[in-house]
Amino acid sequence: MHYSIFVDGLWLDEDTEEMAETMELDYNGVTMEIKVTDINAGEIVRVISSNPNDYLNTQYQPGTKIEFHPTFG
Amino acid sequence: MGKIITNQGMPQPKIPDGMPKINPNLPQKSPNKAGKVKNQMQALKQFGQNNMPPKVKSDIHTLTIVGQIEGHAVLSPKNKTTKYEHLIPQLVAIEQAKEIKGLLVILNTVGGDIEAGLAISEMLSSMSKPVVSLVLGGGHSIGVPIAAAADYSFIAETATMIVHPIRLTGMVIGVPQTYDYLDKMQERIIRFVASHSTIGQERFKELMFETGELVRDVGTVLVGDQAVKEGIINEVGGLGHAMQKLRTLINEQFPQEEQEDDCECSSEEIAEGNCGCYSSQAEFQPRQSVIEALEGDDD
Repeated sequence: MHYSIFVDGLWLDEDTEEMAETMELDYNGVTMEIKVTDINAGEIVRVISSNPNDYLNTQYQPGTKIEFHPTFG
Repeated sequence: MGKIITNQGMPQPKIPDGMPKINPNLPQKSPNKAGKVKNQMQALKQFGQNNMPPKVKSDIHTLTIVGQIEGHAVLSPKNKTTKYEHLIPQLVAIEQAKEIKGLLVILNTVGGDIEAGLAISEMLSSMSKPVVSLVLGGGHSIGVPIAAAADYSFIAETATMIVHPIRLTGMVIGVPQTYDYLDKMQERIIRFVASHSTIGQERFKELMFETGELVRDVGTVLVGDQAVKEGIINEVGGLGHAMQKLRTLINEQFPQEEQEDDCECSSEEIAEGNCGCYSSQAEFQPRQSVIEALEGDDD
């Protein structure tokens, strides 16, 4: 149940075809949302952390390209 | 000369024309630095990890609650959301970490899931560390109890809070019990806000059911100091005020002697004024152990 000023239609909108695929990744112990650009590469969309210093870290700036080692299982 | 010996007889990959060619005879500008960069690149390629930058200590952590508060239902990716599966473990970690002394909650939210919002509110209000909230832009709907849950709350002069009745979403059964259920859900919010701020339950309900304020809804828009006048928020202020208040609350809860002292000077250096850890004499406050050591020397 929602308690929000948003109009229902906006958040129930299922039209998501233009949205890029994003995933969450643990990178150096910092959780971040990345836009997947390749099987092992992505671009940082946002950092999810309560430590304000993580946002000052230039390596974690949104738009930064990162490579990772995908694991399956 | 010039013959390339390849491993296991594999053909050497051809370097495309556009690629820069590396001359091995050129002296490297900084071999250590270059090596470090190479190691970093290898680490990045192999494990998706990089060397950590020097850690800056921060005893204040921040939660930014922005967009919709996402709870049990996953919202469409078009929405900007703050997810409860991120916030709840973060709050537990903040409560547990010794080096974190206080929490600043910044709200710019349109509301969202009731269960998630109330969970966050309850966690904030029951935290043992000082919590200060700051409403910037908007702190609507379920953002109201979250803002009120802090030990002390601020609202920016231009920020607004909309208090309105909750709406039923999804499948609605047209039976009288539906209204009772809705009322019960609403009651949880009203009770929480009333018990964590100075506004009374009756007044909050009045604001909730106000007509003539909102164009498409029943409710009230509270701008900056109106939220303070109603008693939902403690004070009008910005980031500086919120930080200052949080520092004050931290100092009250963790008195000076318990705070970490990074000064590694010996007691002699401090006594002779050769310690550079304190920028001025006014800031110089010898620790109890130092005072005792100096007194011990006199005997």
